[in-house]
Amino acid sequence: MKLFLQIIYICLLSLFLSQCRMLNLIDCQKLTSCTDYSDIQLLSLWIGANIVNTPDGIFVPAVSASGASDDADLYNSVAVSDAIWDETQVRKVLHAFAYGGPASDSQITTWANMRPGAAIVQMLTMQTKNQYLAQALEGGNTPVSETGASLSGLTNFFADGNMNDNPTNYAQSNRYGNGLGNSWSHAIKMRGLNPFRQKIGMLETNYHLATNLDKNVNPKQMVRYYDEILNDIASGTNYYEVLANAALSAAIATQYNHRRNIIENATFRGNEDFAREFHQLFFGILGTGVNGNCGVLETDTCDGNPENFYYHELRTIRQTAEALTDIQVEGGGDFLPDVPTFGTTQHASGNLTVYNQAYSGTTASERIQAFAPQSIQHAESLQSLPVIIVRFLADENLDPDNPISGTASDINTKLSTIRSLWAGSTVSNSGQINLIEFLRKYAVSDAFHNATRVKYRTTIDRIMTIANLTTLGNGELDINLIDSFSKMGSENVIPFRPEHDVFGGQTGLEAADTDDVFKSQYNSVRSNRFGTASVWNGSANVPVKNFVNITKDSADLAAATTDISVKTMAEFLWKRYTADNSLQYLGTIERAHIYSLLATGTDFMFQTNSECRENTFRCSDSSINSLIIYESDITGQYNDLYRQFESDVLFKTGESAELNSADNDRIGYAIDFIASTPFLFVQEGINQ
Amino acid sequence: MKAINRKDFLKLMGTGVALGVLGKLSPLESATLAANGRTLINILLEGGPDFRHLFVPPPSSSTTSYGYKYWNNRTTSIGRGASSNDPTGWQTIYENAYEEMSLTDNSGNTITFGVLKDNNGTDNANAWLREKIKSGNVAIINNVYHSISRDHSHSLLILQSGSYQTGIGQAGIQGWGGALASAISGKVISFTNQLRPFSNVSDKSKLLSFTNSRSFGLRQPTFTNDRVSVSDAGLRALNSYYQALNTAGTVSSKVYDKFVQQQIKIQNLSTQIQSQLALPSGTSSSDLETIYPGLGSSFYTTDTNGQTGFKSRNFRSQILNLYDAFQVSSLLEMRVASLNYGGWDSHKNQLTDIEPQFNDIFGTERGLYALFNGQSSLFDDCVVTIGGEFGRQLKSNGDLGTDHGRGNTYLVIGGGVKGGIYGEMFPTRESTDDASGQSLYDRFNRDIQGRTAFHKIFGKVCDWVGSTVVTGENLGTTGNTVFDTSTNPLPTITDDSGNQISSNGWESDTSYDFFN
Repeated sequence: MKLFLQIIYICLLSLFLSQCRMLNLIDCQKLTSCTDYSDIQLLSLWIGANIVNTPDGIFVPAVSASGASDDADLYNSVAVSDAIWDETQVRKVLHAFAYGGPASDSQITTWANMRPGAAIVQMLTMQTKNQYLAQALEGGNTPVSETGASLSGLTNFFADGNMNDNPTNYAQSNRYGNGLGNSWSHAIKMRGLNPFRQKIGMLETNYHLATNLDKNVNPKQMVRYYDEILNDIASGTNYYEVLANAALSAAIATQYNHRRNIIENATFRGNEDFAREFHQLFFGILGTGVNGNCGVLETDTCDGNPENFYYHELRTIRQTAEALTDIQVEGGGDFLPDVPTFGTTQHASGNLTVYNQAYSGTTASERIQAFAPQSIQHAESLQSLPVIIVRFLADENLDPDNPISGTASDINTKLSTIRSLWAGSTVSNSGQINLIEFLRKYAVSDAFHNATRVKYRTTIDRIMTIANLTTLGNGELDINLIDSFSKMGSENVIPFRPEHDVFGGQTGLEAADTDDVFKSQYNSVRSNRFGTASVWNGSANVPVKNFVNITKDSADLAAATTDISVKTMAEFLWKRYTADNSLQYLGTIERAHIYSLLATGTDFMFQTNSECRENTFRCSDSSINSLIIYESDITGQYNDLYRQFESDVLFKTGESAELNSADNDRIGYAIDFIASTPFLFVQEGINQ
Repeated sequence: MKAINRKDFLKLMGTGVALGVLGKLSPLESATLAANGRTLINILLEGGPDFRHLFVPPPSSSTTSYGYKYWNNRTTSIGRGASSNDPTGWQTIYENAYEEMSLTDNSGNTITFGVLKDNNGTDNANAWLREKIKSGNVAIINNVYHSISRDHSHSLLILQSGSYQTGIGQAGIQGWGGALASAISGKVISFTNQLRPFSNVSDKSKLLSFTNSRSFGLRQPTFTNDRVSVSDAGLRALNSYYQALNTAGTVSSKVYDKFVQQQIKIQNLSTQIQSQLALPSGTSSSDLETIYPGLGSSFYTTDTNGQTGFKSRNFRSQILNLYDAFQVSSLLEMRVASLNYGGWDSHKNQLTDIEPQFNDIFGTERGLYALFNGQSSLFDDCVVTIGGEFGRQLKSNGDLGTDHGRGNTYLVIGGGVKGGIYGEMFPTRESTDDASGQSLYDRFNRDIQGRTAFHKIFGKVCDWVGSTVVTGENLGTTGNTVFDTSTNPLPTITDDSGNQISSNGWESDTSYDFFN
């Protein structure tokens, strides 16, 4: 028997080597897609493990809690005045932090009439469900429980819940493709769930603490990483502990490969990759000083820092690498485990010096937990980390040397506020910084509601905001009506596979200057549209959603099902998609195009040609192709037409089902048009 | 019809009929590429490439020699069974995996070194690079000062802006490619998935980007029997809307107007580019051999898993897009091209990770070979700059890789380049034993000392592209103030004990005259 097993082993080894040339299954994840090399040790592990690719799912129950103190006064103390806090500013908060919400107009008015502190507690909470956001307008809210609404739980649900793009269970659907990213985008579109939570998940796992499925991290590790970070934040955990826990995850140990760092014969063996990134990425500490200009000499001092750059490099980085020894992420079949173990036998002994202070500990976990409290209080971290977070979420005009708008002084004032809010967000955790407390304070502060705030939307921000605002019911997820995942892909953006390997995904600045991003959004008015209301079943277009239901969110149209004015619908849609509650940017030209699409389903230029408008055979459509309609045209020769469209109605009483369907299509066209105007590519802090 | 060469092409341009002629060319006939003037192609290697893996010293059995120190302390990253204190084994690896060359450096010394010719077990790697080194078209500029912090994000900003004063998070700063485009007639064209700061330019009309030339631009309404398609009403409405905003200037806010200008810029080129790069009749976009004949099998073949002959499918796409850009260069007005290649942060498995990547760029029938093969005039009109945000440490680590170091080598390649070695290729400071009998190679966390500023490289490149000959300290006038050391002072250079070295630590300007 032993001989037989040895023969089998040799055969398998031969097959393996011939096909994969000593390939690393951790990297390639399945035999047929091997792309990378490894060592014999891993090969042996693979041979010794269960070769059958047994589906073994993962479920991390969600912690559903607010994440910070819910005392409204805590936030009112740093809030803008009630005069500034209005419906437009409420909408801007929802757009920046929750992919648009959406919330009903009446709820937005209610929040605008509340003190900001009371409103923000309801708006930004880490609970998996927020009764004020993303409620179903068709059908019911999600049947998933609060604890089941983690990303791993949702992915399992999509797998088993007849969601067509996740046809099998988690383990199979997520191992080889982009099931996780797909599930994440579904989670935002799923009615009854809280989009703010997913935005924080995107911030932490794809930007700030970026991990990458293209960098050896397997989907099980990734989803646990995502869920556990969000659970920590929802629990109200100190932010340094959130970061320390993330640093000790299997996902991070696999991506940076310090899972192989050991002390062997009293000598360190491994790499210092994450030892550096722990300080640089996680906490924003480069060792170069708060102004980035500390000297590099051994004798230099570095104001504010506990050590100079020379010792930061030669001692802190090195000894952090030694702190990260004997983290075991081994075994578990053809996938590395999603939970590490922390050994002592190959871990560093004695004290390790970080930030010029000695720390004891017997495992990597003890070491990291020991100095993480100092990391977050490091002068450079206090300077940089809140700016990193704000830059991703809400403001890219934070460089006083290169202001997008405003002056250097304006921006320095804003930066000062952000840093002050960060350092002071310690009430929820008895003196330690709390992320949600900070975000709530920032979201009601004059740093957010600021004339110089400029946030270019990333591809993910824009697509998920439009998708979130357009999804009416959970039935749409079944047929993947808004294929947000492929839309992001067409702009070369894939969740959990960030563009920049180490420091995260596409930024807003990059998106704003990348022509393919604009092009893709613009071209989407024709294909892969957001506003699709019916689908072709092979013989006819079949309605799949009824946009009349979107009026449930409208203050002016609530519960209306017939005779909805084009003007009222246009204004409702404009507010919803652009956050411009005062309709400041809904000018005559915008109205003309939107009115025409809503009233006729055709463009305004087409309607200006009487032959075309009356559908005669003499209509030469191409002749009007390059016609440009100016405001003077609309208020002049075409004013009657404009007024006619404005007063037209949708869903006329007694209208046939066919016409009703046409009205739905028209609303979809209007949504697509609005979604491709400049106002969906960027958000200002206060309308100018 | 025979293929037109560049001279004929420019002649046609002069008669004003070139666009029409080019538009009718078959793919094969249009495969003569033309630059729009001297053109910079910048390839950003993100992650910190280990050029000390590409260029190595000959091994030596003398324990105090550079060749011994290097090989003895690089065994884990070199791989191939290398072990400590084994000069015979190193020599075998050197002979099998490297082609030995000798060049004269800028100080007149003859330097012998090996250039990687093996790609993880596959021979004849980097053949294009080796041929270009031998033909005197590659400037290997050593000991370039990259950044202090060794932080990826910050160091990338410094590299791409060309200024050591660039701060953390200053992602909106002007790139040196953008600065060059601003100073000369022409545009910077980006082929990267997302725009890189190298291309940042305040005048956005100077910037264009795309990742698929064959689906360039904005869709235009389609017509059947002179009736616009129902689903195209939105396209026509949007175009009219943006054009009106542009003409009337009704969007006063700068942040919104940015996108108006973007629409105008792309719309104006869409029809022409789509027409000139239309797929030949009967072909699909995946039929690369027909669309791009003669580039080489690695561009056309895919295995059963859809993997191409390239390690990076994205880099392959960028090369194809650049190839197309040269086909329509007069439309694009391309003078600066921006490409990137990620994946050089080789803390682990360095050999298997980066050797295929080098070959993607430098191999036969790979990136640069395919672009310039048979296009000698194009090669003469282009300069290719290749480098990353920082280098690696001297000693390899315990994970088959190398960790972040500050200084690195930078490559400048082109028909107008005066090839050779600039700066001390294998500095004696790295291999000299101290009082304890250890050299820098024997210690962890020691890196290449940067002694050449980006100014010296990028300034001269800008001047060459802009045809402005400047000598002495006043480098980079074409590139504007980016390379002005009075406003962007150089950082401090330290010795290995962290002590400041004298100002002449910087290589002198005049010694680096790497253009003919």
